[in-house]
Amino acid sequence: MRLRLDTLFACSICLTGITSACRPASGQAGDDVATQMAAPRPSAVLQQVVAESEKASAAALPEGTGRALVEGNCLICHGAALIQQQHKDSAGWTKTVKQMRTWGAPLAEQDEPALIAYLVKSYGIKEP
Amino acid sequence: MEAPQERMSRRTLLAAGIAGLGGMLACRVGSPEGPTSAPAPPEGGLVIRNARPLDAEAPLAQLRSFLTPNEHFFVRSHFGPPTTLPSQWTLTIDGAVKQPVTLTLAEIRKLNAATQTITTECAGNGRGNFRLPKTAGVQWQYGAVSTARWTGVPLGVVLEQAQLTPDARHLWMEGLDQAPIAKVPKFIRSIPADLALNAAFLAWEMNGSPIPLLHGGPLRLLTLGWFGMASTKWLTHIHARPAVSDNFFMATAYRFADGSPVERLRVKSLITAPLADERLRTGKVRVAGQAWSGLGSGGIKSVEVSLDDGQTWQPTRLTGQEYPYAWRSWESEIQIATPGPKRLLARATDRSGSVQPRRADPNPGGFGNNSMPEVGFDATQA
Repeated sequence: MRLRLDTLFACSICLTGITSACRPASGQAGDDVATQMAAPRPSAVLQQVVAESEKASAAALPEGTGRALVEGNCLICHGAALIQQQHKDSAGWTKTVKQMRTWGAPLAEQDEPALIAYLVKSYGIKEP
Repeated sequence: MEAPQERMSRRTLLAAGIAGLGGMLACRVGSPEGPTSAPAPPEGGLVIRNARPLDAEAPLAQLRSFLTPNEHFFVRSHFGPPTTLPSQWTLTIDGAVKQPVTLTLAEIRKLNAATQTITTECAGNGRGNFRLPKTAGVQWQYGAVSTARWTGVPLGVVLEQAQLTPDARHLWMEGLDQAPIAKVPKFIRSIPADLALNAAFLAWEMNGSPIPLLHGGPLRLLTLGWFGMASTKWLTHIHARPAVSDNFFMATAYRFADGSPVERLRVKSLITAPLADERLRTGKVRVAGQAWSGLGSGGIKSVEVSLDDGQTWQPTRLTGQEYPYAWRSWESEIQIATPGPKRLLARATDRSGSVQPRRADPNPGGFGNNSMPEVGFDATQA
């Protein structure tokens, strides 16, 4: 399954819980403090900056067959920057990918080698 | 009537100003001819390391004040804030207790409120400064640390209502946050019961305003003297248990290379003035920063600075009021005799005698990097 990027961004921003689209259930004032009043949302400026940051990091994923696998499997849960700032060898990325599949990433088993190869090529061991 | 966001900002800034003269004076940096104000923070107020879930550092210039304004306080969580909030927030305490209880936020707020000034540091702060060829996780630099004045109650006061039994040796803290995919384990950390009873704080206000959602509001834990992973955000459930949590983020994650758990803060300092690549004039230059440890009782004994890669050290002044679990501001004037590139080091010593290392031992998880901070800057002839 591959998500469209525009859908993904709308969804992903919502998943961060920082947009007004993710409103909490309406509060009952009564004797209690309505939850949404007790936990102010981020500023509109921060929401915009975060959304732009996420788009930019996704756009920076190198071309290649693995890119669609990252978009369709990894970016469901987190932004591309989380991948891009890490550096691992084949064993390291293999461990990560298998962990993510165990945790429910929808990656097909036959796509594992291609995704791992893409990650190693793009975000492998960093030169000292 | 003021908008909540505006009110929060003003109150926070007021608190920051009152908290320490250093908060105001810290804006004056460098020689008389040098920069006199902090650089403007980035748009949005934070340095973003990862957009989702949001992981963002405090800009160093915004750490010059003793209290970190809410909009500049670093942001970290594994899954981001809960996407759906209940209309009425509750905290349940059960398990090894005589009387399981569920308290509403309003009921908790009616307990005798106190304030506690606390420095919180992410366990991975400085991971990016290890500069390892292989590294996992968010590559924080210096700014995953901040200080706020929290309003709430000591956790022990709330636990009294449930009456822990002798079997309650560890308290498992569960928040409302979870990953988008249900199979991902929740982020559940436990802390020892004696720590929970004596050095943990349950907060609903941050710098005088309701805790922002990004910072764990409406209700969060602060475990004093421990790295931030032990300060559970969006707290809804405390499970009293005989054993340590077996959750992934407790049993597997947050471990040093020898397998020991990441727990207490290490002695550490931070340079907030000058900033990297700043251009200053030769002559007397003001340097400043913050220092902290996980000891409690103030913790910091001294902070020294060096301009010759640690061959000689110059003492600094500790400023402002001392709080048991908050960082201590420090400042000094150093003499820059000649123009050219300079490198400033700082090192803190705590009251146990622990000295901040020149370079902390790296570990695969990148935890606890308390290496001395170093700042490179240019001096031009005055």
